[in-house]
Amino acid sequence: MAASEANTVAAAATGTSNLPAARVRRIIKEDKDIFACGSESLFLISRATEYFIDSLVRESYEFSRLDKRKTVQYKDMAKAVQSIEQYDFLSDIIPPTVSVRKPATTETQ
Amino acid sequence: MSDTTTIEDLDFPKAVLTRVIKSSLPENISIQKEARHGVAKASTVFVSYLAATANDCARESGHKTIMTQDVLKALEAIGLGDFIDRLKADLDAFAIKTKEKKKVKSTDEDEDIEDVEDEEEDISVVMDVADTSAMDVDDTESIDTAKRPRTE
Repeated sequence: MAASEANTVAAAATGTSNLPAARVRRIIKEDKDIFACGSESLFLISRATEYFIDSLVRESYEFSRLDKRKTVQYKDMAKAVQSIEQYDFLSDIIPPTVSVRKPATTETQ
Repeated sequence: MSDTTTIEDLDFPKAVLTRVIKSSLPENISIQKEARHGVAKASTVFVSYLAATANDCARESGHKTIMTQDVLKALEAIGLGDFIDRLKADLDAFAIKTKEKKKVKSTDEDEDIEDVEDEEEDISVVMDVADTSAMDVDDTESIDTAKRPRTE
């Protein structure tokens, strides 16, 4: 995976996160198997998510570049998810868009 | 799906995500709406995924509360060990910030920062000292922390 530049929002070690803590907390609470989470852990998860976003966006952009585009499109992200092992958990969240075709074998309209 | 709220309804605010996304791209590069949407969904799922993995690490280590070590172990386990160095720096900065806030409050119960690591009380998910500018202060859950004086 590409190393991040030190000047991104995600990379500033200020002891604060750009993501709202309450929202991170709510997401974690959805998981009934989780008993409790320390405040430092919550902060770390928040920051890790920022690094993850940074990473996902950069990897997606690589595909935009290959296509010589200046707009990062969904399909770039889908390609990134497909090609990077650490993103396997996203395969259902960011699936490749498949064009819908009428099945050739069964009855036609 | 029985709940009305699913994990995918808990997106981060658009403005926040846009900011983080933009800082990861060169100035002249834009991002399509659908891709931004993908980032939103992916972020929420990531939180969930990391937290669940960290929870497993916690259980394996014999404790119920997710500790920072569990989060770091979890990152290693999911192949994102690259984040660990930066996160350790984040932790240090967070500890300093926490200390500063406590000095400002100047409570008599001068809690050692080191003790935070040992807290194994039954606290449902808590964020004690976050920089409030980064927080949605829309929810004020009652938090059962015996140690921390609750002052507004």
